[in-house]
Amino acid sequence: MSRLTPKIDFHVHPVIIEEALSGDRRLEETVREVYHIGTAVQPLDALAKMLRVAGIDKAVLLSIDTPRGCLPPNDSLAAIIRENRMFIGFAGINPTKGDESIDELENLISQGFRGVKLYPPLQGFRPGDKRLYGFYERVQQLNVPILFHTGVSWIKNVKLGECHPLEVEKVVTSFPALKVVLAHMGFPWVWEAAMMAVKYENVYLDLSGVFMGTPKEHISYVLTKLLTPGFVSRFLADKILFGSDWPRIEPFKMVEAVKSIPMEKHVFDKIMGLNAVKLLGLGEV
Amino acid sequence: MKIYTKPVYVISEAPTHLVNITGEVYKALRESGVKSGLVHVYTTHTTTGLTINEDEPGLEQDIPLFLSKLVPEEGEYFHHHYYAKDGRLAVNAWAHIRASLMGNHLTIPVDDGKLIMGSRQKIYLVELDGPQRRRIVIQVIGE
Repeated sequence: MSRLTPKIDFHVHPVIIEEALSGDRRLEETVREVYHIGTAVQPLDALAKMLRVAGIDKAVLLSIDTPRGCLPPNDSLAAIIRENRMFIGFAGINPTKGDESIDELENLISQGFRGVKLYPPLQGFRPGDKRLYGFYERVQQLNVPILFHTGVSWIKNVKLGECHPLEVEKVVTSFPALKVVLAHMGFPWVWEAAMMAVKYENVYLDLSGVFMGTPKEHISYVLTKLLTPGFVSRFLADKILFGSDWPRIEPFKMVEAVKSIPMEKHVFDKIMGLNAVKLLGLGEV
Repeated sequence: MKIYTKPVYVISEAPTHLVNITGEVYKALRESGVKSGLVHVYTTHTTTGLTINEDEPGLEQDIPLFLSKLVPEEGEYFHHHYYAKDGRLAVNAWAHIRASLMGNHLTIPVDDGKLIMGSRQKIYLVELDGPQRRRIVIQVIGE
């Protein structure tokens, strides 16, 4: 099954993974303070089992360079992706540091990271700030995607208004070849995010997170009520990437939710993995 | 009187999974050196249960299947809302309710350094929202 239709979870935060925290209790406390995550620390093996149970072949593990440091640290994430073919790393970088940010980017990509995760309102910048253009330029040259947080944030000091997907539009129009993923379908600004993906060739959406009910309720609402199945099929089939947002929701529950939506098989296959394979330039999964 | 406490960690393999932990309980009993007393087995989670039953593969499927019919995932649950304590939406009321039905502890008498159990009886952790790493505490009390 997985050989025919690869499944990729594009949005996993390994912030309560034992190996990513390297047994550092203070780091775990920091994670809980920044992300407000109450669930127990799990070994990487348990995450791998969660993904396998969901039928997922690979997962993108995200770090974010928060004001309290990289969560989880890029170093421990680099070790995980080096030793486990199941995982793909997106680096946490603060892009506001000019050449230092660019050096860090180059170094992390050379270590095997396949993209960058940015969370502008948490990291203290606006995506369209021209001071970041040197960084975007280099990311575009390196041909790796940036996953921008957009939509609802559960982080207490993050303002929702700064999470609007149209915040990213200036970046997209200034760097048309830059591959950009808007997280969480921009929920609740789903139409705005969707039209960004329709209009701009290199803008993608990830399906991760649940914000208004159970996974089945949320995914059904987004893909069949807010948007329509016909619109998803004709306009967004090549642009949506499956994601869970673990540990805020379990991958298995999200996969079951997507499966519960009436959808043509080729659309399902693209959303569940083929789009991510293409975007990340993965060969055999 | 001796009290020996041992945490045991298991990683469940599926969303619902009966994990046979009899061997772990026997191991803790041996380590304790207790010959006569009680073994108390306790799960520290709210979406797992503990039970003693027969280690027959059909039953290992029937028990979670019956629980899922009794407490279906689809339904109106008050628990399903934004849960600030966990920084996420709560979406698993059914797992909590199933766990309550199973119970979270077991007590088994010990005599002559052995658990007093029937030949068909085995001790199970019942995973109801896995896979996850789970912590069980085994406490042996006696002499």
